[in-house]
Amino acid sequence: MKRCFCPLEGEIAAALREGRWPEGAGDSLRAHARECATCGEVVIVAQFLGQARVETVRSARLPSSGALWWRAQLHRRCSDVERATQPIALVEKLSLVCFPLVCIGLAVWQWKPISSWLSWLADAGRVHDLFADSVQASLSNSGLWMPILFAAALGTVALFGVLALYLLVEKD
Amino acid sequence: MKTKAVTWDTAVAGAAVREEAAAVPTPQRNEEEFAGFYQRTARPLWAYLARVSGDAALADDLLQESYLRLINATFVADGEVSCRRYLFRIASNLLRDHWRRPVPASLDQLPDIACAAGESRDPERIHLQSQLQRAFARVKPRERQLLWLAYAEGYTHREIAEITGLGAAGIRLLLFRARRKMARLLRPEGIVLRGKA
Repeated sequence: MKRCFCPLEGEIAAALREGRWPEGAGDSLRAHARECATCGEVVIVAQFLGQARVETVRSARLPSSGALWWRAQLHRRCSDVERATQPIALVEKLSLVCFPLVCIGLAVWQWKPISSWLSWLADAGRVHDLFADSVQASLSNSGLWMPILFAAALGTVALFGVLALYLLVEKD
Repeated sequence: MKTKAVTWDTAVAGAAVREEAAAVPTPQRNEEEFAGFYQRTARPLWAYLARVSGDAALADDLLQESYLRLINATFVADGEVSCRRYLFRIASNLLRDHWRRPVPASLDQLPDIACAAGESRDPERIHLQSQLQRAFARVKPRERQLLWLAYAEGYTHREIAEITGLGAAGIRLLLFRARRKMARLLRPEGIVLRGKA
């Protein structure tokens, strides 16, 4: 490990960086760089990269600082607005998620009044439409009328729920 | 846990320190200061990004993104030097993010850097540039980064660790290996820069 590093490599690198190499670096340091493999590598690499830096810096084509400043301000304003409206967006999302859940909960909790109401609807429908009457009669006879209505209601709620979720995801 | 008693003197001293910190010019707050800072740092930063990534177009994009992030950062600089270091850190993170994205990693697919050598008419310079380009293409991006920060920008090991996010203890060894590799790639053709060494 000792051979990897030379105590003078920092000094040589500094001389190269400050443009003091080779004339301003001193005879002893130059002689050392000729003898020491590590310092020889430092000289080669630092000279190359120093030269490359000069050339590359010269060739850079940059946008104006004003345009960058303007873009940054615009970006900052956008993120400020986003941060300010974050609680509103959160409440909006929560309400969209909660609505179908609340509907389902209500349907389960108040199932008895809902079922009586649905049966009343079924009776009213029977009076008005002869065709519907026959269908309803057959359905109620077979005991399928209530589950179908309930399934339709649940389906509507689920549809709205999916629609709400879709809108939520699309917005994000 | 020891608690420090707040007296009138310590409170006044604290306020003075805060005032001093607020008085330090930061390019993030003032457009004029930013313009000056940009003038002094944009070219070296572009050179760093272009040489390390090997892609001038990518360097253009990352340069703009770096300054945008610097302006909108909550970081409070204690002077231009630390602000410059922070800027290089942002650029290094952006480079790292770019490398992490799945892209073709073959050396043949690396875009050639369109700078310097193309504009120079001096055949020796063109040769040196192409030699450097070839050597740089053969070392790893992380090694290019370390070499550039150490020998082109002149950062210390501690500063390089801060910029790259690597452990300060490992920088010396990583840099030694990268330098050895680079020197071997540059040496075989016996290149000696004019007027030097």
